[in-house]
Amino acid sequence: MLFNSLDFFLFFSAVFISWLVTPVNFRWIILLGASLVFYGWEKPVYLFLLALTILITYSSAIKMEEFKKAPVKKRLFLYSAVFVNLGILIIFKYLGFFTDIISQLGTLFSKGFSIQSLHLLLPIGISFYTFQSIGYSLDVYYGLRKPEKHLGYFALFVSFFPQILSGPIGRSNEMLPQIHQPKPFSLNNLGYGLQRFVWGLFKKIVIADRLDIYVNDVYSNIPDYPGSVLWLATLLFAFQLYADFSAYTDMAIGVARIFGFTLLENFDFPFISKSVTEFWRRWHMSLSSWLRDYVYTPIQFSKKKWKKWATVYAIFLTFFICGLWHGAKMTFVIFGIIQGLALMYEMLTREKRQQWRENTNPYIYNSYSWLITFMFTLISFVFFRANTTADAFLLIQKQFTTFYDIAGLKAFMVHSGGIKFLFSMALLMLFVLIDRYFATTIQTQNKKAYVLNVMASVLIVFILLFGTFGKVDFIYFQF
Amino acid sequence: MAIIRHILLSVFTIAVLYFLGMFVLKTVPYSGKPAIYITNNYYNWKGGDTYEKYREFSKTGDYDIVVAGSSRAYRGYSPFLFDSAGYNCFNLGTSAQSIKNTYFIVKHYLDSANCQLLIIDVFAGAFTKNQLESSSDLVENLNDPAAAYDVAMHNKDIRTLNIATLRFLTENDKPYFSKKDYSGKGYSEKGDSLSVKQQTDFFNRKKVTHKKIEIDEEQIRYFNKIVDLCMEKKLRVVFVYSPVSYFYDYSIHHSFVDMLKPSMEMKNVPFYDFSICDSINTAYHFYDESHLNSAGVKIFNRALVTKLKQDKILSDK
Amino acid sequence: MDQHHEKLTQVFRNVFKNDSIEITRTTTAADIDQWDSITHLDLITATEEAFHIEITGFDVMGLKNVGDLLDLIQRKLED
Repeated sequence: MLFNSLDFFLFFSAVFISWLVTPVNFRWIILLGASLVFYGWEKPVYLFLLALTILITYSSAIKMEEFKKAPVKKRLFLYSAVFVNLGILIIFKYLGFFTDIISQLGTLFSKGFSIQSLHLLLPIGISFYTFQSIGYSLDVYYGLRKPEKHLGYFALFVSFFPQILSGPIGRSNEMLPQIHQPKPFSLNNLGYGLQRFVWGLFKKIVIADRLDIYVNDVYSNIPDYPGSVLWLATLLFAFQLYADFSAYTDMAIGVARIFGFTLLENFDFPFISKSVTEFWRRWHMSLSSWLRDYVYTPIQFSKKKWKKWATVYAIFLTFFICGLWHGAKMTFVIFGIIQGLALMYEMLTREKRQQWRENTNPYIYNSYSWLITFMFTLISFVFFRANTTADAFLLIQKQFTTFYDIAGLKAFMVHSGGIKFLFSMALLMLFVLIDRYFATTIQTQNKKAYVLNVMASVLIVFILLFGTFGKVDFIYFQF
Repeated sequence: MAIIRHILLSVFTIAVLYFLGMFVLKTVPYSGKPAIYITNNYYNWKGGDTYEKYREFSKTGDYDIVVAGSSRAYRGYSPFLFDSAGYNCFNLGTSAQSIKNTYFIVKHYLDSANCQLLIIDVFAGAFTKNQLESSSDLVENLNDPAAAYDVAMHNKDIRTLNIATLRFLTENDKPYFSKKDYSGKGYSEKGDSLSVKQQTDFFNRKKVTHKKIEIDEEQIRYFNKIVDLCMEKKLRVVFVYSPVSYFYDYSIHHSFVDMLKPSMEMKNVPFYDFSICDSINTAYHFYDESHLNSAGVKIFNRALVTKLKQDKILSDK
Repeated sequence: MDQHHEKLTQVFRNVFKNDSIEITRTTTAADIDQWDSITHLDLITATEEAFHIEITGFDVMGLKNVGDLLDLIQRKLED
């Protein structure tokens, strides 16, 4: 079910009213029931997978607590939980990819080699809730969190409908206490939630879905366009991706807040970053901090003796996994690898760059750092968006050869609707200008209630007047 | 109550700003027309053949035959040819008219008194999800406001509500344009054939990639509703699949027609499939990938009249 | 305990090359500019050397602030 659909509007209204009339201590039942309906809406059969994750993770955590004094057994239960969750993820998400690679390698050596290609339908949200479950298992294992004894609470932790499909990936220490101490209904939460939701809706319907048309056109016909158009399309894609995914996050956080839950933030204006390291502290924060805590740090400390090379090694592996997490495609692997390489470069040149900074005019240094970081982000996003690796390389090659083709750029704008295209660009510009102000004002609620109300109402008018309706999936649904 | 105050404030702000916004977009001109058309792809101008034909059509008239459907209807059935065969005919086809919108046309414009026989042209392309082009055309141009608002309300897309607002705001404006090939009685005629280039391009294509047509269940539901509505109104109806060119993706044809059959067979409604018509040749009888030219229309309409007479659906005149 | 605190302050100052750093039990990575997931390893290895203890990846996971680190040092020294 899409947040921006009539189905969701009706679903939400029903859930909200039932939640409101139920006594506070029983409200988790309403939310759990709603979450299961929400998740099983299109394909109820995936509820079995979800149930498997919930049951295995739940019971193995309790067992880990039981065998606190027997490290080998404790570890065995950790492994079984991680094994099942990763197993589900690998079977449904990566099996096709691996069998394809094996069969390609096979044909290199013998002509007659063939292996059954296995592409299963990817259950939505699987990358998000399995990661959330694995994080929980590790928290219990490391002693950061007591295992959850209440199966219903635990099931709600894994399946809470605002976040199950696309995050933010929740943490046990942040979510479980909120489930244990449900907050009563509050007008402030309702106001905050609705404002946040409308802000997300605006970004999705007025900005992201409008850009989708142009980006899709160019990325499906790369050979037809010169480098200049490819730069423009990649720039538009960057904003589309940011608007789309941060919109989902806003809507998820907004909906959760109406029910009294505070979810983790996911974005902190990533495109103002002045280094790739900073970018990952601002982009998809719930994933990057998850990777930092459960992948990067353990790897780094396991190779502690290598000194700084332990960090280099951990960065590389983490971002390889980060790339692969986005999808079972070579393009995502390359995306992860080049991000990892950039971070390795930044890590190894830390001190040198510190010296440069001290010897340069700070304004110039900061501007250049921003520009280089942003250009790098754009090029890495080519791999994020391109349908195949060959497409991505062709695109980048053209970006560096025919970037001066202004006539081609003009022709593209005319073909994309001329003045209509420029109008879309004006809306994008408006978004870039107001993004920080609106996001911060809504998040900090630092204006009077009626001002916030009018801001949200203005956004609704923009949605009504300039929205692109119809079903466009959120980009992060595919992960 | 704070909550009531906030709801009132929101509703008031939204209503005022929305109408203000629409008014500004409608009033500020861009190259001679209201600027609203640059904001989205689907705004249709008041005017054109739809505007003219629904004002020309008389609800109290006495037509032997009325045709409804998409552009394949208003370009494929010539009322003048039917007239010369002795049948007073009018064509209510409009651009990309979805079968769902055909339902509202039948509901608001036709009954057993003004129409002896309703011919609905069916085409797989009119059964897809995308109805915005047709809806916006009808909402802006139907002369019956009740029909226009009915179409707008049932489209489930906020953009049609904008167009309804636009219609309301442009109620007193003159039409912004007219179509040159509109020939009266709801018919638009084109004499040209496919260019040699179009034809050679077609045969040189190594692999023909058709645009995939995805049939929408809601449209099938409305198709069935039309059959019921005609029964209710005691309106005699036949469905016709007019000739297709070799550009048409024939692979989905049979499965599509099979979706329509149950309700037609149950209610005993005749269906004539002219999609493959022996004497029609794409090279001479089409002016583009899916529309007959005047030579094609002549052959097809003659064949249709003969068939309808044979089956005693049309009486001899 | 106090001498650990003092010694650890010195470790922080050396690792982050800033002699004005003061730490309390509630200090977290957010309070010190240079303290991030990259320098964290340097900090831990420097701590190990200063106190002659060994800290594993498992130990590190439980650390939320300087207080946790001091407790960890205490525990390791007692073992």
